[in-house]
Amino acid sequence: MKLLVFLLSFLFLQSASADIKIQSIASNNNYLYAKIDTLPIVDINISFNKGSINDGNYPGLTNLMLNSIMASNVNEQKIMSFFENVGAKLSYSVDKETLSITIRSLSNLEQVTYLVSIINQAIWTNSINENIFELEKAKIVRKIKESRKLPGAILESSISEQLYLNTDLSHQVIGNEKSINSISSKMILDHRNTIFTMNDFQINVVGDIEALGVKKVISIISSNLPHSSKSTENYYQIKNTNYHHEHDSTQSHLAFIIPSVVRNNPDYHNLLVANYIFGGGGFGSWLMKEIREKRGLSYSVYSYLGSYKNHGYMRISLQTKNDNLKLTKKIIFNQIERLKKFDVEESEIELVKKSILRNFEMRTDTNRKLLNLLSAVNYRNLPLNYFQDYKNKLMSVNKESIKKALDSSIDFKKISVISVGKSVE
Amino acid sequence: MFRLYKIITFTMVLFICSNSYSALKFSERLEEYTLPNGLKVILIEDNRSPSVINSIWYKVGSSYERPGSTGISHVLEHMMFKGTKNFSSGEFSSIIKEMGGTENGFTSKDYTGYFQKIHKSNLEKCIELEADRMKNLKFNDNEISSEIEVVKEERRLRTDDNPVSKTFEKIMLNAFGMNNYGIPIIGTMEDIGNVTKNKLQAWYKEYYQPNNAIVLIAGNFDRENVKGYIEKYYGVIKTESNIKNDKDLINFETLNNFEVFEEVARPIVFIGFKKPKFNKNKSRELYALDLFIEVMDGGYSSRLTRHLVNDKKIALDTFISNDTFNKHMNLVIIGGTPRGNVSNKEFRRSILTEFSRKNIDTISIDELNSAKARIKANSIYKFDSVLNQAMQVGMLEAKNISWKELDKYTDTIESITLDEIKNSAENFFLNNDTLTTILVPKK
Repeated sequence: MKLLVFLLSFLFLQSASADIKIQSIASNNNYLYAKIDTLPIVDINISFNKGSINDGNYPGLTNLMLNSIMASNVNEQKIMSFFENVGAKLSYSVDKETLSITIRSLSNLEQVTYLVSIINQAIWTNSINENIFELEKAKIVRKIKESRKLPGAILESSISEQLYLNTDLSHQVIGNEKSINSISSKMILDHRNTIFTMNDFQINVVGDIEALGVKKVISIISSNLPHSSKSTENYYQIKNTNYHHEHDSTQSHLAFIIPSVVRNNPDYHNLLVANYIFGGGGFGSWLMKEIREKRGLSYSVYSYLGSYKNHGYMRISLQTKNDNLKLTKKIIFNQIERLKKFDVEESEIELVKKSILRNFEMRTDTNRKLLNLLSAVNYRNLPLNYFQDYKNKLMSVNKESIKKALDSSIDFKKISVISVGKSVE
Repeated sequence: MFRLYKIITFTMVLFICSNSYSALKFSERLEEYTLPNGLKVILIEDNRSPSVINSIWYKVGSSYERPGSTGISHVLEHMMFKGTKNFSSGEFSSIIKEMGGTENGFTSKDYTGYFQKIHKSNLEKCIELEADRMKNLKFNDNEISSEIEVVKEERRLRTDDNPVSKTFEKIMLNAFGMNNYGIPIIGTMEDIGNVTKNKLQAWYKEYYQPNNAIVLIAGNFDRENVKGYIEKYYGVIKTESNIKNDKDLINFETLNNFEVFEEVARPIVFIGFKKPKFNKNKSRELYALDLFIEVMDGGYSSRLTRHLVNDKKIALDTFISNDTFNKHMNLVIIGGTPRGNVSNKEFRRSILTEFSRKNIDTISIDELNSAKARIKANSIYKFDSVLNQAMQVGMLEAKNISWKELDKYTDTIESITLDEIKNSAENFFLNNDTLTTILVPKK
């Protein structure tokens, strides 16, 4: 396999908070690194831009593939035991659009590179032990069955099924029972070859490690990744729906989904400020005030801007006792009308901007959080001058620009309402 | 500082550098003192980032409560955000938000705590606000009624619609009755509904006193300035109540076996063992028990997973729940989900076999070293977050256990021998009754 020669292009980015420098290693920006040597810890996130949307005709295939591979043996020893024997941590997950493997280790380069080489060997295993495979299937089937019992989990699957009907986004990452039971270990290895490719590979490293060490880590994990043709991106549209799932629970779980824009859209920071005032800012936000603080209708109510690769949305969520579902829906609709008008003083907007910015500056106070930030920058293809760019865009927001963004970048005509709970006469 | 060792695995010799960094110590960064009014102050310096945690811990939680008033500590925690004589309802949170900070409150069995994470330049204001609500809390009738409804919703969310939480509540109640750790933190629905202004005021007056609290500041701050702020805002508060710890034990009957029927996909078996409260003089034996539990279920390569999940194919998963520093008698709970057609009875028997003398005696030095490596590495990882540091120290101090135990724990674990963990495990598991609960899928 070709050993990649990395060109170190040190693009130093000054964090708005501490003096954190993000280095881009190699000529593209898929390899990000920040050196933090105050603790003897290294955190590594290896990700591939493939997820459950790549399951094809077998919902849950990518997740089952990753779980089966990571539960396997390397040289007759469980992969997890290589990590646990030296106190390192290994976690892995699949979501709709990405697959991610995360390592935390004490910062001994030999140990770190050794553990990464174990991951590399695991990925390129020639066979999956059938006992391990059947166990992983049984665990996932249990999760699928369990998810049909909990109102919060039913809400999540209902949202995907109703809003993305007949698309690759409609099924849950864990798949369904029929699909999981029909997958063979050979299918896992075939699917593996399409997921772990150089084109989709990204890595983020934070901690007590030199750039040369990071290069070594990258060369190990990428040494046998094949190049593949660039996959075509599908564009999804959120379907407009009003759906209730009947379930015997004491509370109803409720979500409003409104089509919006992706994370790197120019309107994003305007919507971020509006959402903070509306329901993203916790106590004192309109939703929190009207639903929890004034009326005691819910323990938790919030809104946020969510984003897939090529489309975004605003989501509002809460849980309330079944009797109150109708009332809370009405209040939310009223607050959405208020959001559309956005009759907010400029002085309040200025305060919110400062608050968001100060919070942003403190968001990188642990290695783990910084790793998450690097992963987001990498995955979302955000600019390399991310910290400054964020600040500039946020500070340019004003009432007029927010109103314009609300008009053009949130589709209030297509509000979907999904609920789960026991209907009350 | 560095130590190398070799691990031999089947066909190849792997050279691994061990996690042999010196454990980080709280004693290297911590100062403690007490104000004349009895308030304990703990300062933990960590200048890795410009943020700082301002926290306060009151020694009161559900284990202090009585039937009829269960959940009152938690309702009071909610009311602490509802205004004082000097700040209106929600103003505290608004100020923290303007600072770009984050905040929260939490209630446990033994303590109630509050924290803000803010930029170091805002620390004085936070100390002022936190000191103000120690003394000047306002109890508005409408706010109380509304917040009681919020807490009821919280109970529905966390417990009533969650079969596993509901089962844990029943397990603790069965083991201890409405005493100490048998009392649910959130309270019963009936008791939440019966909380009144008078009850809240009395609870606040009794427990929210300087001599029953710990101010804990962790992160980036100027030590002398902070001491000045604490003196300025907390030093003026007088202690006005002596806490009455005069609870009689309420009679109860414990069942050795019972079933709970809920909407779950697969059964879950819980086997409880009563564990006496933490005793500093027996800490070495207790830490050896911790290490044994780590060997049994500290990771996916630990014994229960290897034996019951992978080899015997009896379990889908396993777990052990254990609190090292329990202030009252608690339960160590071992459990899991049987696989396929394995009966609950067979599953229970298989778990208990893992804890037999014969099996305990087979624990190897490799298993012990692996468990030690995990505990030691975790003792370093925890220093990545100042909030985590504050939580670790606060949780112990609020139970009247010195933070020094945290440093001692790491040192002691390193020196514990194979014989010690075997003896400790045998003493605990072989001389103890079992309390079994099965969570059964509702037909």
